[in-house]
Amino acid sequence: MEQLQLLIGRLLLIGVFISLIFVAVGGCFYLQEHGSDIVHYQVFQIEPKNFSLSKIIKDALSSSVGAIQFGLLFLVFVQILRVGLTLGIFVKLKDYIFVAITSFILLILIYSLIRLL
Amino acid sequence: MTILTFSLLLLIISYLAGFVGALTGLGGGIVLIPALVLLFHVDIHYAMGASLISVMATSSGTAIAYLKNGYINIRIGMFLETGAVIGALLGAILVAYLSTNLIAVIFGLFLFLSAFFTWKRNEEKEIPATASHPWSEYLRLNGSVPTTKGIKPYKVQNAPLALFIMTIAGSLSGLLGIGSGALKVLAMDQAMRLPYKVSTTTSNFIIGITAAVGAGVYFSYGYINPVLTFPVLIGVLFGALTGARTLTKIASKTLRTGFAIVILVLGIEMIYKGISGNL
Repeated sequence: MEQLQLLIGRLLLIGVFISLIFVAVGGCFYLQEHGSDIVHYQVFQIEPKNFSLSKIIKDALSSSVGAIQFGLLFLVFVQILRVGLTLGIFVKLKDYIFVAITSFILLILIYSLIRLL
Repeated sequence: MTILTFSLLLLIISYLAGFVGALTGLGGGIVLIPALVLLFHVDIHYAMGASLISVMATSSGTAIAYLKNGYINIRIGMFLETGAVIGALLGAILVAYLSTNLIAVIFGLFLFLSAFFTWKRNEEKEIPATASHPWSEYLRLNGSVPTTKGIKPYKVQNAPLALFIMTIAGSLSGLLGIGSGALKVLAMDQAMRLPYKVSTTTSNFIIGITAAVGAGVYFSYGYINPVLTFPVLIGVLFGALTGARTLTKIASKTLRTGFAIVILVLGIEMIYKGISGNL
């Protein structure tokens, strides 16, 4: 149990690190491209309306903003993974009430991302 | 102002927000969002999106330290999280139907609440529960915590009330883009009567999951702005990491009173801007 808990902790740390790399590298490239532009607060209205999971993954390596976006979304996936691992712990412990509880959380988490598909 | 200057300023303010948020246990969001909105005139939705992402990163990045020293009670965390995810999903969906000004007013009211709890919370007056709630027996929520005097068992009270408060906390997290630490502490300190370290670390652990539900919805709404979130995320994360390292002990009464006054002022400002339609 404790070993598995530490595994979750380690996974989270690695996940944050990977996300941070995408965000920082993408961010630096963005600043290099646009750093000397003047801020209009409209600059912060660039949200793509047709936003989809496949597009984010495709853009991850092709544009600076895409890389940041991927890093941010990756953080959400890390949370799914951690709840999944927690579920694994309870399955292993044969603790079925908590298997149900954790599955429910996992379901809601996945449901919240469904609009992105 | 150029984007470079703007990003550097965001980085600094986010670092400070993360630092203070970690010291007080309230999280960075409640200072960060008013700062972005009031000082930098960022659209409140983008401020909320950037904050929610930072909450996720902070919760994930600090989890391993607390898992190592054995404070986190995963069973309590998952039990309470069932309410929080439902709340977060509904809260985040609701954001699209509320006006910016109304969100600002609700945010201001939440700041008042947080100021009150920050000022009032006194971990030295911890009263351990002597009996546990039937649910705690059934779900085996009772645990033990390492102290200077060895491993100390604790009992969990009033699990249903805590679950209810956590559902509210989750809704506010989705609705306002924050970790809503103040309410989570209320659920665990006051309702369940958990030891201070257990409630703080367990709350910090599950906040990331709650935030992920809100973030999923925010992504689909387009509230997560990559360019704005990039300096905010880095700033808050490193601020929180240094904050947690600087003071492993709980922030002093004076510091917390000072912080309570700051969030009170921010709350007044948010409500004023919201009511006057100035956002």
